[in-house]
Amino acid sequence: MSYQAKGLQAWLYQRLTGAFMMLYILYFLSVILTQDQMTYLQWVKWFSHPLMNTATGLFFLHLAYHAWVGMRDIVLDYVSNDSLRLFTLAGISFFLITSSLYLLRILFSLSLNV
Amino acid sequence: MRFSIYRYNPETDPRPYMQEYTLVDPAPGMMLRDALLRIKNEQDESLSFRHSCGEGVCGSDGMNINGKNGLACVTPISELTQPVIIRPLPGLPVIRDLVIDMSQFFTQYRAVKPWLIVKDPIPEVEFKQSPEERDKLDGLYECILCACCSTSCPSFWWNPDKFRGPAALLQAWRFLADSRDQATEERLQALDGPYKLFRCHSIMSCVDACPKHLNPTKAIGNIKKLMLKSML
Repeated sequence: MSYQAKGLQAWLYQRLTGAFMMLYILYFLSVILTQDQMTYLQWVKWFSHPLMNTATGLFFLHLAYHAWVGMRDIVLDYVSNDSLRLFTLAGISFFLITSSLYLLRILFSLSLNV
Repeated sequence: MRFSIYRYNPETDPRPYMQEYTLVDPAPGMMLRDALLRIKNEQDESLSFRHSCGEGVCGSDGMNINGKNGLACVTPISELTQPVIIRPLPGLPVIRDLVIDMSQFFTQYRAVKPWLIVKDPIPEVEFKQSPEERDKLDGLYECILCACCSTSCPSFWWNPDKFRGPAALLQAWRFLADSRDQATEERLQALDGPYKLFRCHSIMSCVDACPKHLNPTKAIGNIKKLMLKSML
């Protein structure tokens, strides 16, 4: 998540993370849409499975990186003042890192339920 | 036929304004450049704009015509809705009326080294190139540097000092695609980083604006693909 990330790397990772997220969303939707009803317990069991737990964790990490590249692009385009740019990028990375850690914490606590 | 034209003389006008003109009896098949010349000759000789060849080859009379960049000399006035609103190409400083300062545009153009770089001894007679290799330059060499594409690109508006812009990147690909050029790695390295190439988000305003029907977005995509290939 470096501000100095080379252009090609950021561009490539944005596409790779997008591809992974698309696969995850397709799988997620295929399960949700084919189930008649899902109780809370079934939901917890589903997300506690090590594979689903790991895939979901990876999904949110990919989402955070994907969002970082996209938001960084917007900031590089529209925010020309250096201090404001640094402040905005710091704010965005703080939000993405804390929300990712929070989500990973939830997923980790679920994994202990197995 | 009614025209509304952007006027600004920094020496006398506190701010730019739009001036109305009416052209009586426009000739059939008249191009916008001829209409502007008639307005200048018959109504207001202080109206300033660049023009030269009059046939879409020199790229001098790029301007914003009814909200879209184009060349006045190849734009028939019969196709324009009235009043025809004419402004200078956006995003670059105005020198006077429709004349803009294109220094930034040419600085970016020069930065991609738009010439053949050959490391082997230069052949005495000529560079050999097969017809297939030559075909790869079609759609690239035709650029007349009118700046219609770069000045229609929001990424170039926001970062004209850092982003190369579609015209310069089309030329970058023109030399990367050239079988005679031997500086592929250096050219690719010079374009890496978050700004020079990667400010392009493929919105294709450049393709829409190009009066020569070229495709800078595709050229930029090809540079990215070549970069990826070279990285792998």
